[in-house]
Amino acid sequence: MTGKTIKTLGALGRRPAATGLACVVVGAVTAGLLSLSPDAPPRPAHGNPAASAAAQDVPAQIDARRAWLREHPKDATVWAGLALGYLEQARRTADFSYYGRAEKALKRSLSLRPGNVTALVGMGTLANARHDFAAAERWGEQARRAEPGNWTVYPVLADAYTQLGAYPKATAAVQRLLDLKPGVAAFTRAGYELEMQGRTDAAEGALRRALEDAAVPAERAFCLHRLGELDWERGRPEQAYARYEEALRADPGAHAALAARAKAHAALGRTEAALTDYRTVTERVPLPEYVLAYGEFLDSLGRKDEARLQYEVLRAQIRLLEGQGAGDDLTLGLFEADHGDPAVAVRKLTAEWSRRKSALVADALAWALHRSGRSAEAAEYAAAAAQLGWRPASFAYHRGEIERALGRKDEARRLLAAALKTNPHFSPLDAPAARKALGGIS
Amino acid sequence: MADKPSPHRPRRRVPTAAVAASALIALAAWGGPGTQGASAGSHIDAPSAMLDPEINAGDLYAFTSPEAPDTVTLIATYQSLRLPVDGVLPPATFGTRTHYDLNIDTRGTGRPDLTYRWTFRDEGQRQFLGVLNGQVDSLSSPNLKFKQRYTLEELRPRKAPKVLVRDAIAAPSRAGAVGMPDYGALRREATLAVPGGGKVYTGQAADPFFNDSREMEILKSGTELPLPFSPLQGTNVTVMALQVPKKALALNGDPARNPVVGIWATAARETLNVQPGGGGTPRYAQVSRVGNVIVNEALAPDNYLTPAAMFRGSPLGVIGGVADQFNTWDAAEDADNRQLIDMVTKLKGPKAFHATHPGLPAPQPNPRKDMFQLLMTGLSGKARCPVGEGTSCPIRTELNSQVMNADADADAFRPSEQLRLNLTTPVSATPRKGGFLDGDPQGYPNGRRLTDDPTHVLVRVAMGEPAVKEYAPLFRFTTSGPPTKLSSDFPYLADPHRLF
Repeated sequence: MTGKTIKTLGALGRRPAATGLACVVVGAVTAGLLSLSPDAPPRPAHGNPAASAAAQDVPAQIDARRAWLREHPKDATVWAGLALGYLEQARRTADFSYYGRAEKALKRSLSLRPGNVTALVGMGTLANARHDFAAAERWGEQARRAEPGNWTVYPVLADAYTQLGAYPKATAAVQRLLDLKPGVAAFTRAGYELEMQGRTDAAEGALRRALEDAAVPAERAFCLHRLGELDWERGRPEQAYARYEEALRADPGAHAALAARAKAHAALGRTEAALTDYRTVTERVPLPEYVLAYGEFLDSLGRKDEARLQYEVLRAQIRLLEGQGAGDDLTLGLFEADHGDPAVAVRKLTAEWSRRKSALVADALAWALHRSGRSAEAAEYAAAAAQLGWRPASFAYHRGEIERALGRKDEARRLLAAALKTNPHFSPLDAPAARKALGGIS
Repeated sequence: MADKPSPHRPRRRVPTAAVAASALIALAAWGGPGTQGASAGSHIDAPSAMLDPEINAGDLYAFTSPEAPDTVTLIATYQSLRLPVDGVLPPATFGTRTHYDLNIDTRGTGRPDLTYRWTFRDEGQRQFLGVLNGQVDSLSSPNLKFKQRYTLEELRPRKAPKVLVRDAIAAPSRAGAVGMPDYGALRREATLAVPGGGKVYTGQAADPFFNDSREMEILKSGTELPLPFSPLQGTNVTVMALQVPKKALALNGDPARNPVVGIWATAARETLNVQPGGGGTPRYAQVSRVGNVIVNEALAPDNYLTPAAMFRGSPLGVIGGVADQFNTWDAAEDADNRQLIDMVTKLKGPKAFHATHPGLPAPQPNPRKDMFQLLMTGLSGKARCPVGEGTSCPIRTELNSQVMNADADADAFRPSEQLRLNLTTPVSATPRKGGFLDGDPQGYPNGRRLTDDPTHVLVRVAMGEPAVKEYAPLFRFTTSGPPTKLSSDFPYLADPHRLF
């Protein structure tokens, strides 16, 4: 594997314009869609932070539920509650091993009381966590049929429909959630929803509402990180940096904020600090997107060998995830397009597109096609990605390069300029590439 | 790890540390529902609301004011189980960007004909510690670092809102004897006249709630607990208390012709509109509802928050379950709400309790028309109870259904869960806990006085009263309350407890 990886990467190294991956994965994906996650517990109180914080002690809840189940092994509701605790813990710690435990508990719950909504919601949550969004939709819809007024159904549906690219249904699910349970779960998802509609100021307002209601450190950190991402995407790295700092003060374990702080350091020219943060976060929580961002940053510094090592780690992890039944063809496809075999990327992403018509997949497929020399086909998908009001710099960059390859200079110039205007630091590799391309258009 | 990684070290690590660690790595976090968080419980409401005490409705009271019998007193309490703060812990607050509504239905449609709405704003910073700079002798004292102001409006359909009180200061959470030596003075200052006759008090009070957990558990599950247990003694609540002329409430301003009003309290939080083209006008979502307090607490099938559950050490409710959903239900849709009707008419407790008392008569089988009547229509021979066979209602007493209102359109009546009060029932000289079951028609379910115990009445009806009286002696020796001495004039509640 090592030999092959390095060979592929060697081939890639010849292309100066490498990779829209860092920006897409770290910028757009994390901020926009893929890590849609605040597991946003019921609205904690303004006035009673201590009580709410205690209520949010997930490991303690897990212990309490396990203790209860030792005495009452036939309590279907508590089996489902135990699974939801595991899933929340998986989300916070990125520890994959909780998924299996959660699934076991959920199956137990459903066998004890078929169709119970808490367990259906748990199955939907698990499917979303494994990026099996079609299954999440099925579980969520089954739960909705059983109890349409149960607010816990709607985060599952909102997340699944967003990822499936069924945007009107996603909007409706978020609105229902907002109307049943205005709180952190709803306001953070409203943030994504509004951002995707291009209503960035309203998205910021929604996240501020979420922050007001967030009494638990992990939740506060999540909201602050997301607010930082909105600043980042609008090309305000200082403000973004301050938000990430605040997030890390609230919860030093907030790995997403740490990865984000690394990129902000980088944008602000603090290379050593950026490297330290990247090193820390990838050692602590080596999520593929963090590893990739680290690799691309090393790449941008000319430290090609070290970058290549991070790419190796990434490949190994993606394989491992696939071995666990949790596919992530979007990330892998983007990675292959920029640092591997674009033909593999096209294959993976075409398959992904057949499963879900999300703007992210459209953008990634467009980019993979372009990288495979099929820019004319790419243009259609790039246009599809731009159907939403959402305009991340990386999308504009991809589209600009595609237009440039097709010889449509005005459009290319407009898009590349837009990418740089939106966020001049959108990627350590692509932002310079965009600048260069823009200068090269006669 | 602060040193720069050499190309060799990470290479060595790749197959071992990093990849091994990645066995524990999930995909980019893709959130599930935020459903984790149910915690301790007791007399209160649904699991989600418990985590949001500002909108966690405690109780609703409605009664003819004893010393001013041409007026009615309405009291809604929130933030149950607040320990006395004594100026140390954060104050008990009302929600901002929240509508606190007392809804009045005079025609029995489930839609309010009149709503009293409180809205609050903060003055000063909410802070975790140190509420006072020094002794507080008045509401406007600069020593009060944080206070809340409220506006009270009267809303009637198709009429402009009428402001009754604008930007008044709510009585603060009580601090200790040093910080607030005379809370009574603060309460008097916070008790304001309402235009058109009436008074309002918004602030804190000792929680007047009491019940006997044994009765509660029999109603819920039929289980007999070994000891009486009322969890709320010594705790405070936030209070919105309003005294208004009966004429202001009654249909067409005529309590003689239209004596019955239905009342329920709701709280709604400001939410967002993410639909394309949305935004603009604020949108509110109902997150709390209380009429007959015990309905959600005792009858929601998945509400674990019972004394028995506490004794068993189970702190769990079902987040998002029926108890949570109840808080979002629109009273106007109650008549078609199968979940609610099942909750109210399909009881588990009576059958189980009878099983342990085989010598006594078996209670009525489900669905229970009598419970439906008590909670959804009010008591009247003219009421219709469309559950089970036929539509007639079993309890023939003419007491407190809007069908008794001469000017109400009988065909427009829609069953809904409300606290129903007959404005013409005279003030009882000898209040009894059993209300109409014990020959005291002024008591619950005919409104609710501070000395009434809805659990007591409901459990007796659930076991067959007024038709079947054999169980009544079993419920004769229960605790009574309220736990603190009431005051003789509005708002009647005891001053908040304090520790020091």
